[in-house]
Amino acid sequence: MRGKLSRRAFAAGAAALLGAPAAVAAPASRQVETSLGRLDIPAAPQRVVAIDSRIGLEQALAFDLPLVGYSHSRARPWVPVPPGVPFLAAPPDLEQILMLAPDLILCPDSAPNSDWWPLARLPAITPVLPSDHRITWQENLTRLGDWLDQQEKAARIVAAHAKMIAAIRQRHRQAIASSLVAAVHYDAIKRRLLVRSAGTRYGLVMPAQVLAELGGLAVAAGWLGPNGEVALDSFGDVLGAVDAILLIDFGDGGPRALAREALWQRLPAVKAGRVETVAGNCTFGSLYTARYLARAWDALFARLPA
Amino acid sequence: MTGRMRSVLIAGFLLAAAMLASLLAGAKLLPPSSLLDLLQGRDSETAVILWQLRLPRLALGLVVGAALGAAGAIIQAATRNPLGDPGLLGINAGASLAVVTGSGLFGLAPTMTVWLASGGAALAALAVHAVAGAPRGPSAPIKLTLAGVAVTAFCLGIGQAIALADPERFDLVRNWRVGALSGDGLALLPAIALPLLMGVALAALLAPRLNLLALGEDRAAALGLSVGWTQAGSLLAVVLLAGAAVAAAGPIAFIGLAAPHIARRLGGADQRIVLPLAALVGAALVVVADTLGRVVVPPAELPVGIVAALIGAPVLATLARPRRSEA
Repeated sequence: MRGKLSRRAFAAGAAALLGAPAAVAAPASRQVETSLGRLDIPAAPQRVVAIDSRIGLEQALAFDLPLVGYSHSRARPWVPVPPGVPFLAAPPDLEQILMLAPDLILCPDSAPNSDWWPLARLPAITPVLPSDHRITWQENLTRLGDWLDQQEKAARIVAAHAKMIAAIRQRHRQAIASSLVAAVHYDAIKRRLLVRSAGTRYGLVMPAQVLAELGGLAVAAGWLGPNGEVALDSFGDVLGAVDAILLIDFGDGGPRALAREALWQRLPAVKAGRVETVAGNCTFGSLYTARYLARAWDALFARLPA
Repeated sequence: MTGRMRSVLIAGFLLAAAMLASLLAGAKLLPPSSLLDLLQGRDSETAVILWQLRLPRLALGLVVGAALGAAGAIIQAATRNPLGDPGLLGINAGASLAVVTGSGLFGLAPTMTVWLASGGAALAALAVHAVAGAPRGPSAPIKLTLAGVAVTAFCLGIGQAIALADPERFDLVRNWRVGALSGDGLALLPAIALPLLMGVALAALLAPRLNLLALGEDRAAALGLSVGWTQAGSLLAVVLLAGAAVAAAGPIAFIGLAAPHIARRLGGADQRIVLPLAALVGAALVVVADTLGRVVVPPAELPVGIVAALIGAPVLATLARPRRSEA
């Protein structure tokens, strides 16, 4: 593939030198401006690696990019990964990625020198387009759409999601306006909750993003630990006023362990049966996770009086 | 009142203060009046916090601390090594590796890991003695300590390899590995009761013999003590006590080192006094370390193993410095 591209590039260059019209051959590459500087990326990528199975993988699938692998963690059930796309080593193995000969890599810019998101080392392999977990998934998607020259597709996806959100808002207008809600995950080993509100060190987490789109009211980060932690002792103080809870089940037995805690059972929302359990780690993601969470919030608000 | 009695009373008072602080301090600070809820059996949130969280945690801390303190006192007396500590001599690391292997790799139930921990502790203790070349004489303490460092490093390395091989499965024991009372360790109390009782009974039997051993192996033998059996019994007691403590709360360093030194300062050199006093001091140290860990970065907590290491490192440094009379 790389050879083909090179020959096309050579032909385009030769044609330009010979004075042929520029429109004769489609450009093989595009120049884009990212946080990594000015990059030449393939105009039509042929072999794409997503370093993170949350944002990057979902974005690649949204734009129908030809994936040759992804890393971090196995794709969640609600993300439609084609069967042949392999899950690579995690943390990513740069040699394995090099062997795949990608022509484009998608990688979060969360920690450029880390083992999990080695943004600083990946450009040595091939051009890298970064994503930023501190901005909304729509902004990330739109930005990637601009880089890939797929602005219309990005706009269509964002608009379709906005329509879905509007319909949920319409259904639960009263409950959304008058209720305090929380999306939580229980760490059974440390016996503490992690509340997925905006404003913690986790950045703009997906449950908080989608709730904000709906206009819902979440537990403020000021009540929580730096990572959104709530110790068992403080359940009543932090979640006592919460009307309904979205309980995120990572598949690690958290909800079962939580059900055994008397302080959880004492919470008004739990006593009233206003807890909706959502399967899978949906803390980060893009359009597919946003849709998944929109349905989960929809189900939670349906538990509240209209 | 004798000076020794006064020391024991001071230690008891400090332990009581630590216990009270442990009940009231945490992510949510409770007023002292909340203890009335506990006594009156009220169905309040405070009573639930005390009954379900603070009291079980306190009980676990007391048991684990007492076991580590007593184990440290026995090992220091039996090896006549002031640096003797189940942590420094590789015993905690051996128990830890056995638990990690059993529960992390083979998915064994926590109750099964108690005896596994004791087995790991025994193997590590034997390995340390073998690596040190069954040392005797004045150089024995340093040889045993160095061998302990080597065995600890080996056990930690294997544990890390297991962790890297299967991070998801290993996640189940990640918190325990650094020494923590926050988990469900209290559920293990019935399982660790038997090895603990056996260890305590053995320690009680050994205390007078350890007094003789303090005179030196040759003199003790001349006085009719079976040195080999006493040392083997001591090792068994340490393995039972430290193994049970590690199974319940993970490897907590320095308690076994510091508690006997403090106990000797308070109660003199008689092992019949030092052993129970070291258990008392060990319990107080673990409870204090756990309470500090709960209040320094709320609502997150520092595991007791980390706080104990932070407290223990200066203690070790102090012990390593020559006293004025030795300079």
